[in-house]
Amino acid sequence: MILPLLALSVAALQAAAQEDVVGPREPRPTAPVDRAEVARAVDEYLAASRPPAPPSAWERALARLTLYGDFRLRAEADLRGDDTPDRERFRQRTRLGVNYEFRDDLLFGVRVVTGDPDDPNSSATTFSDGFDDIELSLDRAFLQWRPRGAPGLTLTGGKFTQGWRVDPIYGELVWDADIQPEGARLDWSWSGEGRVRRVDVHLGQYVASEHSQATDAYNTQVQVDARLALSPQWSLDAALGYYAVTNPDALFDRNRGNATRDASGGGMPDAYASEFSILNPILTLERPVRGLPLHLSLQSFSNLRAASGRDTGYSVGAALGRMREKGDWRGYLQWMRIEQDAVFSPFAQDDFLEATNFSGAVMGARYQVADGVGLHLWTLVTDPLTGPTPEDPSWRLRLDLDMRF
Amino acid sequence: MKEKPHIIRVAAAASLLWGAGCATTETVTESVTVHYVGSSTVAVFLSEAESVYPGLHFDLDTAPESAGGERAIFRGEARLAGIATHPSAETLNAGIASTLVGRDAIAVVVHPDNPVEDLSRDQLRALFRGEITDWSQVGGPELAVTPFVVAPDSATHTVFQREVLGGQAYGEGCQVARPDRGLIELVARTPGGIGHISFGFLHGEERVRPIAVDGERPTVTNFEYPIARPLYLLHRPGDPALDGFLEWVDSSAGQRVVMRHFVGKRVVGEVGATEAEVATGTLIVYTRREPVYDGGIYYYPYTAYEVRKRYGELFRRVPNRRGHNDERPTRVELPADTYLVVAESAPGEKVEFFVRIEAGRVTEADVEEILEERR
Repeated sequence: MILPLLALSVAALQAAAQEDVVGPREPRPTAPVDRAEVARAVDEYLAASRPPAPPSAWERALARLTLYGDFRLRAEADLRGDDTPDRERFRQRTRLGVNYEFRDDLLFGVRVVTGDPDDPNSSATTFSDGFDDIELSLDRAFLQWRPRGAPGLTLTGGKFTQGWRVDPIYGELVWDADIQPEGARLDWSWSGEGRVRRVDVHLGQYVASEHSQATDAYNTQVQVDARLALSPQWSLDAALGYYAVTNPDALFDRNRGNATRDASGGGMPDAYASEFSILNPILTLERPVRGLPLHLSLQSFSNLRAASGRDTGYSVGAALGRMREKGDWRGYLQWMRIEQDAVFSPFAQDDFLEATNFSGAVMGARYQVADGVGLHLWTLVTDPLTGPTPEDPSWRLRLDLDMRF
Repeated sequence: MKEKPHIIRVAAAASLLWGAGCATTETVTESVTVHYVGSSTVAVFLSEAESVYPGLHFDLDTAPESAGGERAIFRGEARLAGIATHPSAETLNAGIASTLVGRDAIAVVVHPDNPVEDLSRDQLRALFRGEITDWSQVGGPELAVTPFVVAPDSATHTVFQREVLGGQAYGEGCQVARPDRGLIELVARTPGGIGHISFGFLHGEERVRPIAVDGERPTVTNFEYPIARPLYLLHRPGDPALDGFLEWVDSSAGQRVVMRHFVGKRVVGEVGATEAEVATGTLIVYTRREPVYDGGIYYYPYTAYEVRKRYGELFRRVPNRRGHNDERPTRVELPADTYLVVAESAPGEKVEFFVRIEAGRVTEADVEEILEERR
């Protein structure tokens, strides 16, 4: 009963609307109305307009899940400048992560990686050691909260990604990108439309080493990062970071080149010569060139608590291109000089043949052969600054096949 | 001779409402006069809005049309501007806010005695280019065609040129009507006349007759009509008098007024829906992507955006990524409604656009495509 009435109402409204548009016209011949036909048409219209059934609880939960990961195959050759034999090897790295959004403001994430769990600087495994199986471990397990009442604020606890500003050319001289700190961090981000486009603040407190019978080692991090618009083309990113290590000797067994001393008088080095409070300003100019980002970057790092004058490092470099989609490419070059105690070697990169106390360069080219699949050819040159005997520079050559999804 | 600005000063039609307000409260609300410059099409809506929205009067200066309106708000010469096209990036970058009012069909009108009911866009192009000069060539009587167009300052002129003429120039025989409303009088006086004009001017108009284009008639509910354009109000943020008005424009009550002449921001069935009736839909926004370096591999997650119920009222901030490695935009569930999305078009540069969320359906928006359209 209702549908025919509705159909008639719709027909009457349509006729009235049309007359309203067209204005006075000749009277139209009245055609007989097939009410059943109109009712069917209204049914079809209502069916088409009806929203689909809401997703089930399982579908909603699945929609809150994000899977991601990457795989890298690497061919590597080390050409030593001293008497150490040259070395060639093949390596792989696999990382698989899952993030689940419990609520709109609460995120939990874990990531499984290959590699030695006792080496936070690398998740790569080398082919082969009698075809040993590959170990798996978690390099991320965190909870992240974004309070609704405080836009831009993020609090993260657990073991998580770095997330702070690094040099965009090669950004691992102070912090190896594989290291996932453990502790808590507060991130705050603000964006505007004036000359200051964005400000990010990162405050972190990490536990580097915990001992039941001895003093623990902590790392405290503060970084302020501002992005400024210099002109319609040029922008400047200026970041100032401060990283302090409390009781670095708790990580003495991981020293990879910092100066040491005999603290106990036992005749053997057993402590770092320096304390480590590192100031790390990074300046990056950016502009588009033919639609691709050009970066010019300069950074320095100074250990404010070094025991000697070997406390400073800096790098300068340039990069052009991006690696977002198939056909993208990126070329880069960076030169650096790192004095022995300018960085804390357990946290510094392991791509070069030395973690510290060298001058060197990294240069490379990347090409995205397919969406999510890239080739990366790069070389790293290391020339030690101090040592028992003069050495020639050492070279490391790498060819990577990277896949991300 | 330079034409005098066409200024319509609408008397205080809201006085009845004001009086009603005085009867229920002791507070006397002071009426605010807002100087408006811009599109005469948008002014049609403002004239009617003024009669139902209390406390605001509009000084309407419509002679400069859309181009002049955008200039005036940019230079601070107007408190409110109206344009019948998308705002330029330069205007948005200058911190000027835009509010979508609705969409306007550009109607093609002929003399009421002309029997032609329907023309294709190809035929219209030939008529306005001067390639068809007699109505008999398109199924009408043997009668010379006299095309009228609105002035080049009007967005109707440029939108019609883009949508129908494919960007080509109008024919030399086209006569110019200024302001837009004057075109109705010219076509009504000319038996062979044809012109284009905002559909908003035709409410209750019997002196001219709109025809169908490609078989589609211009009505406030016909989303298929092929020649349409957006109507925007431009304003400086933080104007307390205007903030309330713009919220009202976005409301069901405001949209009902919009739909007296124009296609509203929501479909007819949604206007007037109460909160209790509102279900949820899904929003996916493809925003700008920025690189995240993670152990030698670059990930490109999407950047964050804001969902606002109206200008200034933040409804939700969407990170648009779950963690640093997530390269898929987040599916966001929202109550069915119309929202303003504010996203980054470049580092520190914002783009604003409206999205309509329908119950149980997925709405997708791509910032790069929106920017391309506006260019």
